[in-house]
Amino acid sequence: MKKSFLGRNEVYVFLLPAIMVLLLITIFPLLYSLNISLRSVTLLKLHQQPFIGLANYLEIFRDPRFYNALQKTLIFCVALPLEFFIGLALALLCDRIPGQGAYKMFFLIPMIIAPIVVSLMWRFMFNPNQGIINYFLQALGFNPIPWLSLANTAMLSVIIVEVWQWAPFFFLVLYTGLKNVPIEPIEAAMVDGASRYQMFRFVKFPFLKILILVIILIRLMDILKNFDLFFGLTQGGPGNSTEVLNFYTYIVGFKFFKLGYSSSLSYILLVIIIILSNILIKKFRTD
Amino acid sequence: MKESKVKNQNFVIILFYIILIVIGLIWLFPAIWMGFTSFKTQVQTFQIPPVWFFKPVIENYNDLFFASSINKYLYNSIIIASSSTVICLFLGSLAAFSLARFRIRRKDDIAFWMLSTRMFPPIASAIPLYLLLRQFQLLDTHLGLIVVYLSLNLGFATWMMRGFFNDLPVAIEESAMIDGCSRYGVFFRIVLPLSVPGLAATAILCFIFAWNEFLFALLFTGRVAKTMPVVLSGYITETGIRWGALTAASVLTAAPTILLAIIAQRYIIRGLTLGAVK
Repeated sequence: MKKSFLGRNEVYVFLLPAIMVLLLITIFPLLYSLNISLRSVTLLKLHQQPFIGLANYLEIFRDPRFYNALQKTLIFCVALPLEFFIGLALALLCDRIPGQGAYKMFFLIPMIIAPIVVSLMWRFMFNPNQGIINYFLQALGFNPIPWLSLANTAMLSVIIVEVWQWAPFFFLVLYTGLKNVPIEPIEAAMVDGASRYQMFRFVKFPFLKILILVIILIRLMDILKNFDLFFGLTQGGPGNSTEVLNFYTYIVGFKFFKLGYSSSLSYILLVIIIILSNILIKKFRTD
Repeated sequence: MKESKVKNQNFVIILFYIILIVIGLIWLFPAIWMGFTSFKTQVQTFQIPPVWFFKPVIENYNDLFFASSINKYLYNSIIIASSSTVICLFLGSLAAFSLARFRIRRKDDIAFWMLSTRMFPPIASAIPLYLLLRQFQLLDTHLGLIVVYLSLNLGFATWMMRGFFNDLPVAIEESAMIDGCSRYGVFFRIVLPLSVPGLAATAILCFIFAWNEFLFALLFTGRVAKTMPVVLSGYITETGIRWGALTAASVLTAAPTILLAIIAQRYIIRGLTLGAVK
């Protein structure tokens, strides 16, 4: 069957439509975007698009707001180790409990609620005077926190929401991974009297290593692309305190209408993500 | 001695159960709270200390359905998400079948390339897509957003379906071909019916992604074709946020995806890890 029975025509019929569509709506726009990034384009004067070479890219490196955005993006990435370790802790906890665990289903919910809904419902709870979070804090004897309205705590708030939404992902994936570790090496280690830590570190972890890498890369790319949480929670503010690269690109393009400059910013992000996705694909291949 | 050890272990397991249930409840609290709030009156919404027990009212939902055009936007969301899902599934499974079965040069590269299109940051294609849609007068139309959502989901659908087809035994297809079935016959009469669970799971995931998508919907639609996520963001106004209507609309937006995820729970993780976990 693997040998081709078919004429060339069938390949065209089966494979080409999808490839054509993808070329048209993903690759062509990216090339178009590259072209725009080399021009001075504003939405108000679309008929004039003078070619300015690398000027946009040179401007990026003189733009303090770009460095601010890079820094905020890095800070936001702290969410990744947080959600990983919380997910891992939960997975290890669950792994000690017998049974399939129907409760797992509940942890699916945060991931599949629309991110914009997630951001708005947290915004409701973060309300400094009437929000439930500060109510609980005060009931427990802590001082209320101004959450989204202060530069210092706004990024923390967004990170909390991101971790809330995606720690369950690490939990469910790692739990499934732990359950899939073959029984023989575990039994052998038990006979040899391995401690719980040794069991995890030397028996289970090696089986999970590639899986962990894959999901960390997937999440990292999504974190760099995250738009909805910032839009719903902070709009990049207060000041520029939560203006990550992705959001800054949006503001330049669709608030300042500087399409050329925005395109060149998006290319910086694109290059970062392409590098990451190449590593991911290499990992997939080693499977 | 031995008995006490067993008892001890039971105790530990029960303790863990309790810890997990508590964590689970804390984790779900934000969603539950939003659901609760949507059934409160305007006054109760912001009462501190919060009202835990109250007579649920459907005021917010009444306002939504009878005093706003939410029906239209729900309809937009349904039409756009389901149309793009159907197209993705059709084109995607055709391509996936050829990548799983035919002898094509460098087909792994092709499959990886198709998957990688999903990883591009949407903001990078937002500007060119905006200009293209404008050119073809597709801004603020259903069709425009349906086409754009193909870019989100087609590579993903192909990748997922390729995984499901690879799991099918080839022997059935071979015997059908020996009995004189054509390629198309094999695909439509044998492969597709056998892959119904995979198709359904992929469809559900594509639908959820399209349903939840916000950035493109925000940029490419306006009054006519806007979808639920854009409507939700519209409740944030200069003068404040209309929380009553917002929570009710949020419940309407989140409920279908939660239902679908529960139906497809076995496959959600497989989808979200791009098939790395089966």
